[in-house]
Amino acid sequence: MSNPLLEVKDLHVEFDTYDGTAQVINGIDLIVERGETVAIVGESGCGKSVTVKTILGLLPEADISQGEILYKGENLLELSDAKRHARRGKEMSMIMQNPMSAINPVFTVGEQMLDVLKWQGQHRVGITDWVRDKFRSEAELRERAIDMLEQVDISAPERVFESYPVELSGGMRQRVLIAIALLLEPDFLIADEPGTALDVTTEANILELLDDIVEEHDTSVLYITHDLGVAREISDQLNVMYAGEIVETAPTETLFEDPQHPYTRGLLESIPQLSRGIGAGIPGKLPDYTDPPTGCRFADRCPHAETECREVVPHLRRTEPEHAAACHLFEGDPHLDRHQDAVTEFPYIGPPPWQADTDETEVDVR
Amino acid sequence: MSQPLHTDRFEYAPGDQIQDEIAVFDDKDPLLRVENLSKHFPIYEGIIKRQVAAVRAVDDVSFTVPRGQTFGLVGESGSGKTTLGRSILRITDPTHGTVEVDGTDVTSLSGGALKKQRKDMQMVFQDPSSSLNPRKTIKQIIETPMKIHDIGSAGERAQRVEELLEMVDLPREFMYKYPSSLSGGQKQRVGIARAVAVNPKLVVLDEPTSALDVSVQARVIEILNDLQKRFDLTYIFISHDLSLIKNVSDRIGVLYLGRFVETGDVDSVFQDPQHPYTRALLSAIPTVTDEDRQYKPPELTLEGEIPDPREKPTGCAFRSRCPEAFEPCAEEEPAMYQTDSTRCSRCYLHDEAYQDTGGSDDQ
Ligand SMILES: Nc1ncnc2c1ncn2[C@@H]1O[C@H](COP(=O)(O)OP(=O)(O)OP(=O)(O)O)[C@@H](O)[C@H]1O
Ligand SMILES: Nc1ncnc2c1ncn2[C@@H]1O[C@H](COP(=O)(O)OP(=O)(O)OP(=O)(O)O)[C@@H](O)[C@H]1O
Ligand code: SF4
Ligand SMILES: [Mg+2]
Ligand SMILES: [Mg+2]
Repeated sequence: MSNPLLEVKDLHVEFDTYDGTAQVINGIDLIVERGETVAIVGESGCGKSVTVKTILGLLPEADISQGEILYKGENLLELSDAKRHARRGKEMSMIMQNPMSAINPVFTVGEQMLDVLKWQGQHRVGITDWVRDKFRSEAELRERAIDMLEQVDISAPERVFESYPVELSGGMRQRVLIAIALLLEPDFLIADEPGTALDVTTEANILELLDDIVEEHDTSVLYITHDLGVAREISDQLNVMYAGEIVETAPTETLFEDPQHPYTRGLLESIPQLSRGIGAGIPGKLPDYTDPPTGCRFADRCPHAETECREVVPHLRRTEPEHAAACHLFEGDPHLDRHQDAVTEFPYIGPPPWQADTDETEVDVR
Repeated sequence: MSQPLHTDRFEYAPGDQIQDEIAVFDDKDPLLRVENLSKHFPIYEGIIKRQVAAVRAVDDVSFTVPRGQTFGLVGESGSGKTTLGRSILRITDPTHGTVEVDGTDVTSLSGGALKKQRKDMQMVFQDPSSSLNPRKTIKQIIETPMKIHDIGSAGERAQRVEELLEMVDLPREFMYKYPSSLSGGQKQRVGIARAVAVNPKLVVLDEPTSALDVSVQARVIEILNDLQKRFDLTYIFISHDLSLIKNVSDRIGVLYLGRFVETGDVDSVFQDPQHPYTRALLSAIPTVTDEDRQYKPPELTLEGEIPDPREKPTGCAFRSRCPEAFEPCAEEEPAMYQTDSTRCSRCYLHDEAYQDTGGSDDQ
């Protein structure tokens, strides 16, 4: 807790839309310690990309109505655009969710990589830099770039270096993007669904590579994925997000041993398996952000919901020393300081049915 | 568990070399018939842009898909799955070969006839972001194929868009949004809605659920299954998620460097994969339960990487990574061998002539 690299406090993000204000991010808190990998998992549309793009300042159309984003103790929301831009290049790197729109189609992969190596993070280039770069040999940079492509498991790095993005397969583009993000050895890496186009073996190799880089450079990683298996593999701390709120957070292994929030449990049950087919999924869909429910945002889809759930917002409570869940099935002290006073109003509808019948942590079948 | 679908439709002797790959599954009146399809991308070099080599992204591929079935396409990144799908639908023009959809040879069509044929052949693209026009609203995007093919009045089309959005679990308010304000998974679902809007006969689904969490994925798959049953749709389903492929496909094809190395009924391939590459792929599936583990072949890790498609190894293309490789593999590319009534595999291990030499894996 002492001196985290990134601390997001009570972040609220809204969009003006055709049907009114969409309150997409509704008060989330995140802490990324130095050298730690933190994952966010959650359903499509729950606000993962909005969260990370807000951290990087990539959403000019968003209204950040409340909150702070402290990076190395400094509130990014108060920095000038130029300063944020500089941060983004040198210290923070992002692997975007959509490879094609993040790579420039008119330049070859090599041109873009060399460009990153030469200029990225330098908003305005001074004459001394220019002279220095002139003398840094192109061949050396090229070698570095090709080596990075090789590290992300690209089998013909020279060919890919010379290729235009359209000449690459989906998975190759994604790996090029990863390679570009890693070139600068950033302090802080945000990876938004970097593995969606990759097969398990390749993804495993890339996770390993990330691991190495984290070890070597003490990089902190914020990893966005919809895949719980991947999150388990990569992260130290796991945050489960639902409809713009963090509904459960715990050290990764703890969360898998004892999933608490009904949404987390539903996600775990829906994982397709070889033997038992594709699960049914969690019935229902995300609420409308322009007219969100007043109580628990998950209540309409929750098999355990009671009237209290629809009336009172379940703030995150500390259910175990390092485990917090936002659900009225659980008791515990408020996890966040700002909810200290709200505690007496919390209804308790528990214990959770899966704990009442057995003391097993087996996932229940609805 | 697995019921061979074709047991008595033809005669075979295990280990028969197959002259005509496509005859194995003797599908009468298939919806899709792909014969000797190739797509090569030339590589030019020098100032005069002389062609020096070619990426053989798809190389002499043949298969059929019966109407109303799903053909699963698997293989590592860069193995040619997308290129095969695009060539079948004439989104890109194949270098050689023929594709017949419902009896029509689409490789020979052009102009108006091709345009008309396109109504029956749709694609869900792998990268949802770049396949949606950023300047159009979601309604306009989903409506476009209906407009091109002159289907329905403006009112009917609007209603259809609403239905389609509902179907892929998106609220109707999304009609008036632009792609930039959608999440990755939401865009992917718009792509699915657009592809099925005109009631096509054949849909190539290229990683259609890669951006979706398991819960939304389960529902989207259910919808796709439902559509398939209702309208007798035929799918080619591309995915790197093998558990998903196992659950959605009737038959699968395993691509390696643009060639099929194994094709067959999905259950038999998963239960007892024949080609060493298929075994390696299956043994890498992450499993959660013990039940699942039974499905996995013994651990088989691949050494090395998929070779550069410009410089395919001579002989068997998989030779450079194959733990079973033996003498004949270096000489000539193996033919497809029919290993039983439900599948075939491109590997010398199945050749009777080498039963004793290379048979380290015979169970
Ligand atoms: N620029 C925008 N304007 C209006 N709404 C937006 C904008 N960007 C995102 N949204 C909405 O915010 C919600 C969250 O989007 P976000 O992209 O964060 O989802 P996500 O969790 O990343 O989902 P996925 O896994 O599908 O990528 C979505 O409902 C989306 O439609
Ligand atoms: N327009 C093109 N020009 C040159 N080469 C191309 C072109 N399109 C694809 N290729 C090459 O063809 C090969 C197969 O690509 P394809 O996109 O079909 O792979 P894929 O199996 O879909 O892979 P992924 O799982 O990564 O999407 C790759 O080596 C790729 O670089
Ligand atoms: S608070 Fe109520 S509705 Fe929300 S997840 Fe818990 S039990 Fe379900
Ligand atoms: Mg996203
Ligand atoms: Mg592809």
